[in-house]
Amino acid sequence: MRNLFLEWVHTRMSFNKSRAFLVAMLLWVGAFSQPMADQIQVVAITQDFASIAQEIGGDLVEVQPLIKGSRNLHHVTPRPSMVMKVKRADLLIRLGMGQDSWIDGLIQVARNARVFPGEHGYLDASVPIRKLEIPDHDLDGSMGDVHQHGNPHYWLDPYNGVLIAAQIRDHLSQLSPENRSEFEANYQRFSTELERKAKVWNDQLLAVKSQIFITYHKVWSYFFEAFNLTSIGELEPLPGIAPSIRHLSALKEQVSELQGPFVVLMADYYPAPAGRGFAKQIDARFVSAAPHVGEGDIDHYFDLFDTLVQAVLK
Amino acid sequence: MNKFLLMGLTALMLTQSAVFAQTSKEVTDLPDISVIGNMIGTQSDGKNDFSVKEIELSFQHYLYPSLKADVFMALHKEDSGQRNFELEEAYVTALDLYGLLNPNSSRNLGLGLALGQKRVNIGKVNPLHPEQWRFVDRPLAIQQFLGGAEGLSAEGGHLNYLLPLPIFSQVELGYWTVQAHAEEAGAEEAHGVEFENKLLNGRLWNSLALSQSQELELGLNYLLGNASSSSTDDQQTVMGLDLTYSKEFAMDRYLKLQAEFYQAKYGEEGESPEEQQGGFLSGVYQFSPKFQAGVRYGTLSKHGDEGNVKNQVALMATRQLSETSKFRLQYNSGDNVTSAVYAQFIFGMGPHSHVLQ
Repeated sequence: MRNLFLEWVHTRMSFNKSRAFLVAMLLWVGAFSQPMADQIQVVAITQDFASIAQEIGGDLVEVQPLIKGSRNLHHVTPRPSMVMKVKRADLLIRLGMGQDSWIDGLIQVARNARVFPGEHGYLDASVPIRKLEIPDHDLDGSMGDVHQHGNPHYWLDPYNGVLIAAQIRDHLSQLSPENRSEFEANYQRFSTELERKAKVWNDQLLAVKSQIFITYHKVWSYFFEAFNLTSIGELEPLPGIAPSIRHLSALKEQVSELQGPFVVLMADYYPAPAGRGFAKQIDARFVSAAPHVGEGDIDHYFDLFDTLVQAVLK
Repeated sequence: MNKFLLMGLTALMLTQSAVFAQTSKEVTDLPDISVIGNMIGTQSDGKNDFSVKEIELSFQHYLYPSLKADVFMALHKEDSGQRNFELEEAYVTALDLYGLLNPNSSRNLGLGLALGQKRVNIGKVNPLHPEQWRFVDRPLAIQQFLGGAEGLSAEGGHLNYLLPLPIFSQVELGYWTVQAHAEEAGAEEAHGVEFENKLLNGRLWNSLALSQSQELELGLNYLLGNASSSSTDDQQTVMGLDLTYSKEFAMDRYLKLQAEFYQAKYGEEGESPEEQQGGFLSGVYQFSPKFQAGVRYGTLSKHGDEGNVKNQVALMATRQLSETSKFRLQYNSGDNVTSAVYAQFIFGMGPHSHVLQ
């Protein structure tokens, strides 16, 4: 075998060039300058939280998400570029519930004391949420990837959106007390509109309240509870475990004992063929939808539910 | 005897902690405790072997608002078959050193400090624990220059500073004491760079987001062994760079291309230092959260005029069972290296975490 790599790297480094290392570092520092910002810098884990933060902060904040679009939050790989966002942040909004422990690593490397846990700039948005599916027994891997602190997809209940907004209002007010009244006014406007729209979505979903939902993973539990929809199971036999023929057969058996119509609803980051195939077997409607802002035409937290409701109603 | 006593005490402490936490259901100040297992089956030179290569225990806890402690202990199985229970890492990390020393100051210099025993931050592979590796083994050159199969760790401290730039650029400077590796009874003589006494290291780690889904990282690394010696002939030097490109795709798929290249200058005792170069290129593709495949090419030159040029190709496939458990198969072959087939199973229990690398 030819040593291609060594041949390619034929240009050897000199040990007398240690100083060049330091000079390069100094040039690197001098080549850039840090932009100054007057707005409160807000960094949110996803565009869902970023969208709410933008509503509450208005022109007084600049908001950046760490993750854009529809992503399975169980499989996020943190990147150094995310550190830069956290480093500049005045307020960091995280999902919490043990589902974003990778953010701890970003905080550790960014070393921005403004967003250390316990500071005004640190917001675990899950704290006041009434969590669903908190295990009442000890956990181990035989139960799949069960979340110790409950189901973390709580932003999919619009009433939780109001709770998230209230916390953002409080933290922004602590960071910028002189603008407290503006944050409060923005919050009142946002929460009033969200509650009004939630009633509209509820009325629209009356058309499918008799339908039975089956999902791939327990992504939609908060959405179902908010709008009183019925779900009987998941294609995954256990959380995080891929569907098996045996489990799907049992689920099909369970479905055969119920009166439909049925809807197979899947987050768009799960493999659609699995859901579409099962929907065909049980003569159900198949719906693939984004559970996050930033996907397709979903630019805003309101759009998320507008789009989701329309997808479910089709 | 002492080792077994220590193991027994640790196990007792773990059990008591777990029982208390599970039965009381009360708020506790217990650290995050986890156990990582690494089992490897090997077929090489017509011989079959299976071993529980390592059981790692970790304890992680905040001591103070910006002060964290990490302790990793491991029960290793050495090549000689002997099991050693040893301290792998134990260090405290100050996230904001200036703020820690001056709690009344609102200034944030962004200076971090880690003190204790730690894997030396050089390149992308050396700081990683075995369960974080993307292949069963470490590349040839990394083994040769940076602490053999397990990695280079030492006692001391390092400072981290995130440069005030619009892109990620972190300077890391470390000063360490390293013990010369004691030869085990029955084990083959160690090869590669044998660091001793004082160790200095520097790393400039840069990263640029090419797009929302693409990132390019470049690291420049420098390591000086036996730094306190007045004669450069008694010192060991390793210089190198690492390059990483990652791209994320829809449906949790991603591609990671990684390369590290090093040039070392070192010698046996009483001999003048000679140069040696080596490195690796690897590519790993994740088809889904459950499946990964990868290929790695590694090379290592002669040490001066001694030895042979080695080249190695590794093919790897990983099946992720859960977020903490995975199977892996790997085939290694090449020039002047032993061909081998590995089957590995890694499992994890508990909230184990590592800092961003």
